[in-house]
Amino acid sequence: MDKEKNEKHLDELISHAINTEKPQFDAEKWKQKYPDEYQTLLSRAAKGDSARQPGILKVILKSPLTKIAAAAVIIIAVSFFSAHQDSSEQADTITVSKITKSPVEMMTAISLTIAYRKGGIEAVEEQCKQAFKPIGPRPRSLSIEQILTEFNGNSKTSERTEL
Amino acid sequence: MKTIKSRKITKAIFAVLVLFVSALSAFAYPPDNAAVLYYQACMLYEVDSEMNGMLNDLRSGRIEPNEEIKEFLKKNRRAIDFVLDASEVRHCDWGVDYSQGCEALMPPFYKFRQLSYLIVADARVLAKQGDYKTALGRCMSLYKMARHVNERTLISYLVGVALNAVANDCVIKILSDMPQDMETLTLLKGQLVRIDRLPFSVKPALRCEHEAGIISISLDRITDVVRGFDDGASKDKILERIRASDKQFFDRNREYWGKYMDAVQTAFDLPYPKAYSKLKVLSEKPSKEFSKNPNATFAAALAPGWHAVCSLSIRSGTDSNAVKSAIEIYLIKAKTDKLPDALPAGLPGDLFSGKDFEYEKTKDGFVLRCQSKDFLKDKIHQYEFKVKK
Repeated sequence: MDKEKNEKHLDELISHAINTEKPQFDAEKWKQKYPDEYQTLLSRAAKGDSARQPGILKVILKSPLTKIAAAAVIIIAVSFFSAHQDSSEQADTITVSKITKSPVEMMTAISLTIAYRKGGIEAVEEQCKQAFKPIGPRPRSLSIEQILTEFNGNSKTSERTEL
Repeated sequence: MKTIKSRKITKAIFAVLVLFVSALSAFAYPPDNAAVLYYQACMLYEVDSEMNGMLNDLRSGRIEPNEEIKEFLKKNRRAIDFVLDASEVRHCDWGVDYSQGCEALMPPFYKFRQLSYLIVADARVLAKQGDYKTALGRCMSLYKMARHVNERTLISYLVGVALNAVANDCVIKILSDMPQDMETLTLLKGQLVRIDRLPFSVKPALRCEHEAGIISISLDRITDVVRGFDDGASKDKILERIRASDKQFFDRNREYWGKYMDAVQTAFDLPYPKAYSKLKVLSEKPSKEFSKNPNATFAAALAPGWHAVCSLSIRSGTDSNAVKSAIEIYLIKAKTDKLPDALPAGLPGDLFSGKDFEYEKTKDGFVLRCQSKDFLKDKIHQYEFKVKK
C-alpha cells in the first residue's frame, strides 16, 4: 500500500477522531475574567517606549563595524557547530523520529486492531508479515552435522571464555 | 491379609494401566490441540507474492488450475495435510495469554489467509478432476479452521470472518461447476449442519474486548499499550494526560469503558439497521468526547469501528445462509430436474433485512438477493449460482 496515502489517511483519521485544533484566544472573555491583570497591562503600555533602554540589536545595527563583527561571529559559530556535530548523532536523530515498533509490539491485539481500522485484513497481514520479517529466512532442513558443528563451535567459544 | 495383598496388586495394575494409556496418548497423532498443527503449517508454508497472486486469481475465478499451481500444491502437500488434520481436531488453544489485556500477543495471522488460498487451490483442482466430495471437504476444513481461529479477540474473529468468506466463495464456485448429484448435496448439507454446531459468533470477541480494556486501563499496563499506538497528536495528548494522572483518572476511564462496552454489546443484539446506526453513534462517541472528557481518553483510543464489525458479522452470516439456501434449491433441481419457480419456505434468510432472500431464475441458474442494504458497503449483496447443464 502507498505509504504516503496511508499516512494521509491516518492523519485524517486522527484529526477526525480527536479534536487537534489549536485553542482560540478570546480577548474579550479574558478581559472580563482577569480585570486587574488587564489594568496592569494597560498601565505598562501607557509608560511608552521611551522608558525602555535601547536593545543590543539597535546598538549593533547602528554601527557598520559592529555589523561586520557580529556577522563574523555568527559564521564562525555556525561552522564550528556543524563541524563538531558527529555524523552518527545526526543519523540517530533521524532514526529516533522514524523509529518502528518492535515485532512484539506489532503483534499485540491492540496494535493489530489499529492496523485493521486503517486498512482492513490486508493491513493486519502486512503488519504480521513485517513483525516476522526480522526472524529472516529459515533453513529448509537442518542436518545433524550442522547442529554438531554449531554445538562444537559454541563449546569452543565457551571454553575460550572460561580460559 | 490376603485382601490387603490383592488390593495392592489391583492398585499396581491400575497404576501401570494409567501410565500405559497416558504414554500412548502423549505420542498420538494428531495431538489434542489443533493449534500445534496450524503453527506447523504456518512454519512450513512459504509462498512468494507471484504465486500467492496466482492462487488468489484461481480463488476468485479469474484463472483455471494450471500445471504450475498443481506442482506448487505437490510441493506443499505437508502444509495442506497439517491444516486438514488440524481442522478435524476438536480442541484448539493458541496459547494466547489473555491476562495481558490489549497487549496479548496474537498468532501469525498473515499466514492463515495464504494457507486458505492454498486449500482453495487444492479444492479447485480436485473439482476440476471431478472429485467434488473431496473438494467440498476442503471447504468444510476452512469453515472449521475459521472457528478455530476465532478464539476470543476481535482481531481473531475478523480473521475468522475472512476465512469463512474464502470458504463460502469456494463452495459457491464448486456448486456452480458440479452436476446436481443428490448424494453429494445431501452430504454437504449434513456437513454444514454439523459445522453450525461449532459456535462462530462475534459475542466472545465483544466480551474479550470489554475485559481486555478493563485489564489494560491501569497505571501498570497503560504505557505499554500506548507505546503500540501510532505517533501523532492523539498519542501525545494521551501521554500528556497519563503524566498528569492519578488513581481516580484510571478508575474513571475503566468505568467509562465498562459502561461503553455494555452499550456496544446491547446494540449488537438489535436488528441490523438499528444496530448499525446505534453502533455508528457509539463508535464516534469517545472520539467526540476525547478533548473535553478525560474519562473518554482510553475508550477513544481502544474502540474500533463497531458499525463496521457489525456489518462484517451480518455479511458473514448472510453469505453462509445463501449457501445453505442454494443447496436446498440444487436438491430440488436434482429431484425434479428443474429449478423451483419460487423460493421454498423455511430457508435461512438475509440477515441484513431479516427477511427471505429474493429469488430469481436466470439464463445460467439463479440469483439470491438481499432485501436490504449493507450500510458499510452501501450496496445490496447478491449471490449468483450457475446450474451445470
